Amino acid sequence: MCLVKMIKSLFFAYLALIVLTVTAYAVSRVYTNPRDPETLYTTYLGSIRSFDPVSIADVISSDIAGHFYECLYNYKYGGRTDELIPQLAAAMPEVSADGLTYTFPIRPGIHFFDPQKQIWDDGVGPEVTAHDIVYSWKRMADFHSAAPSYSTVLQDNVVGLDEFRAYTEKTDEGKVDYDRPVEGLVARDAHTLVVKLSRPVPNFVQLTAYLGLAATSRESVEKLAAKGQSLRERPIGTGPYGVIDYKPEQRIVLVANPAYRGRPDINPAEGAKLSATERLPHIQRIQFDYMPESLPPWYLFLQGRYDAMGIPKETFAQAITPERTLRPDFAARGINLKIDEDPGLYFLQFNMTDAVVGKNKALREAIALSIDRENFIRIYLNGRGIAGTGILPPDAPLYDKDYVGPFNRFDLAAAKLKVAEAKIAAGGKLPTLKLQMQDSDTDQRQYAEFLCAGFRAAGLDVKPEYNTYARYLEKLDAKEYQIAYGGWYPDYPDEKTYLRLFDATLAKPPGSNTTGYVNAVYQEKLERALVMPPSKERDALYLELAKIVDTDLPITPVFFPLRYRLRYDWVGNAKPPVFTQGFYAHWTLDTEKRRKALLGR
Amino acid sequence: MWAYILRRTLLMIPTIFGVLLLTFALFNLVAKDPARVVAGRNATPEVIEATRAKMGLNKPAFFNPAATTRPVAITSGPLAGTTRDKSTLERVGAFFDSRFFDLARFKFPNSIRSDRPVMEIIREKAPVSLAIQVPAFLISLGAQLAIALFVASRRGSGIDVSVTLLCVASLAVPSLSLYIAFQWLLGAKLQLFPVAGWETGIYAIQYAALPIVCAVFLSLGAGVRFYRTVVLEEVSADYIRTARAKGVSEVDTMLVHVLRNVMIPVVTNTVTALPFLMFGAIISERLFQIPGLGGLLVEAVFNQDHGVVMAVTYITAVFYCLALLLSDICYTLADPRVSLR
Repeated sequence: MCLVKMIKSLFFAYLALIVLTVTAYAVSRVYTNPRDPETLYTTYLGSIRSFDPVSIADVISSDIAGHFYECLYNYKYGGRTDELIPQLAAAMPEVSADGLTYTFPIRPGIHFFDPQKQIWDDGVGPEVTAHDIVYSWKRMADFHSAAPSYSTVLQDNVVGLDEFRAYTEKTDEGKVDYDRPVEGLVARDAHTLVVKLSRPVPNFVQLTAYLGLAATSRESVEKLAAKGQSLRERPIGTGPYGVIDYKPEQRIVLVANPAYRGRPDINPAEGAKLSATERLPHIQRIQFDYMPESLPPWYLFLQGRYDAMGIPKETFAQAITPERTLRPDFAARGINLKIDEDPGLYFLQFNMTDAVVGKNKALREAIALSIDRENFIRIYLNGRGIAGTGILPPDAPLYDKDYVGPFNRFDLAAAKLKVAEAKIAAGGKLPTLKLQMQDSDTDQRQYAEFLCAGFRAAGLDVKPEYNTYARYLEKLDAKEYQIAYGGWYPDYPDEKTYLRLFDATLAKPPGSNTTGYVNAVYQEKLERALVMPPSKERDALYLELAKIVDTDLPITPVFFPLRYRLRYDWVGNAKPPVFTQGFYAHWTLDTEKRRKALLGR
Repeated sequence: MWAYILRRTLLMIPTIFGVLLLTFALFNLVAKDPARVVAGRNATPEVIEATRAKMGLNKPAFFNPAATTRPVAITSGPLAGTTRDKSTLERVGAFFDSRFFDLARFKFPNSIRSDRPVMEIIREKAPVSLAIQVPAFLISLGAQLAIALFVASRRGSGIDVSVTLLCVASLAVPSLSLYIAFQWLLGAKLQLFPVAGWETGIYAIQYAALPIVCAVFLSLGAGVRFYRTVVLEEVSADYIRTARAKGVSEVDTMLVHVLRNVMIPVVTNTVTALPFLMFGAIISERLFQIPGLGGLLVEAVFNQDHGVVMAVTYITAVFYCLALLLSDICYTLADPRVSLR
């Protein structure tokens, strides 16, 4: 009897569980967390490693963090990709005649913003001074910060900073004395920063726009550390927004900085004179939802729950016509299409130290000629790319859309002739070549199969090898490869970022010249170009260098990516940001239009 | 019984050690130097070294004999600033100050992707996974048993055949397709549930509902088939025939006599499923954007975040061993004929 009762109780408990679940679901539907009418809703696709500026090295983190941190300079929104504006700096720097001393005036009246009021009770921190910049740059140099960009931005450039780094390496973490003087990095007064370089660096001002060098407050770093926290998850900066809510791998909510000066390139006093429509940021809140899969955010975008997003590969044909225009039903829903050039370059690279590939130019030419770039882009990228015809992509100021490198085109007949030539050069027979891929996912497999089919048609036997990314990098570093599929995302909008991929001084690991390309003529011209200030002569030299690479073929470009973005028409002033930090501050949101459009959806 | 528990607990040690050794060896073979990936493509040797130190990868793999002779700095008292030799105990500790024994002591490296301590991430995400998995598991278990008892009591009837066919058909549907289909139909088209996402508090329920519905639906086929087979074995037993001959009603026969005797497979299934509940449903969490441990694991595998994968593998192994022990103990509660010796 007792057992019967127990079983009955279990049965009723089970029923109660079902009823409770359904009721709770109904209640939660009724009391749905309302969507804030002032918030722009969008997504981010990859997890954030850190919001500490010195640790940021990826595009996703950098795109978001650029809204709450500011550097001395920024790239003009909607301007040329290389057009700089002073941000925390009040003007462009004074540069000494020898190009070694930079004097940066710092804007007065800019304060740190702490929206969660973790450090300062009213959420407003102290004024940003040159001392904060010195501190921030020293943080990047600190060995314990393990800043991935230190070698790109500061190493070998600022007098005494490498010695400071050596000192931090010998000192325990947390005991580093940030007051230790660095000869080349001095706050002359609260609003003057003097930087002495150990060699001329013509694009040094561009380097100061690198997010890793953004201003951080020593007080906030130290107080957060005392609480066992850090800027990694509690970022505090001076930008147009601040982080009000951050749940890793779930959501990031930014709120407008009420004390923001209204525009990045003016002083707070001038900002006070701006009209409400001129003042940035226009949008009061931005919510980024973490959506690593492509279909769920797509459905939510179609429901109007996201205001802007890219187009997933799987649904591309649903939104875009074969003529690359937006389908009428999408346009009728108030959706706009923007096609922007995405910075970067994807290519096949050759190991120039390899006995077969590196020493046989005809073979490299045959490979370059047998890549059907247009079909590759059409089949695997839904047409979202431009055929790579030279090493300078569209984000490079000197990009010429009509330029085609001598071998960076698809010509199977010419490729076959080159294969015959390559066989003679190799003594009659070519061995099976190996193509290294960065991963083993479907995309990489499809790319490799397509490329190898092209090589086969030209008479070459190439086998793909799929690696983990770590193993791929190891092979590149150790030059244990013949051909590798790779890509390059620019660090700054200057051709130099691409041309230095072939710098002989960077041919040893872990230098960026992973092809091992060494050409005395190229090197002499490159070294000359690297120290030249921007000028027509330098541009001519850059183009000459690019042509040398396109002829020698240590790499052959495959494609330059294009970004297709959809936005509802209640979102305005959305221009391709490319390098601009804090670009959402320029966007507008017509909340009334959105409310009306979403009624009944 | 206590002797049995002690014996089993001791036996767990080599099992867990084996899992740990295998996991550690595997990940050290796959990625010789994860710091190289974290530091970035153009990192200098110094940056890689700093990253390695930050990730705790600068320690030797198994044993650290060099650390045993290293003197200890005195930081306070009159001898502050000087050093002293290590005691024997400190030397033993230093000898095992390695990556492998760090792992054995649940001292995991930081996540490569988020640069946060793995245990902190697990603590944060486990409740989210449990919020989906526990209700899904309980609802499916009840439904599986109820349907299995019902169809088994009507063996050979049209209902039995239809349910069996449906179960086989549902087993043939790939779970990924079903998730996507439900997400599109119930979320995107009919808008009965949110397509994806997560909120805290009461709002979490609406986001948890669709993954729960999918999980229940997906588990029914296999569960009903399994429990039906188990129930049928019991239904044909002599004591059931006797119960029926005594005039016990069919409901009482199934619920009282049969159900109690099928409890051993139920207990085994339930208890061994517990560790996996915490680690969530790998596919559904990613598709529905639930910030739980299942999604974390997928992300970690994609990003070669070995610290996270090793931690999850190791902790699952430990919990699984504990669950097996617990299920043995539960047998004695479910069936008095079982005794642990």
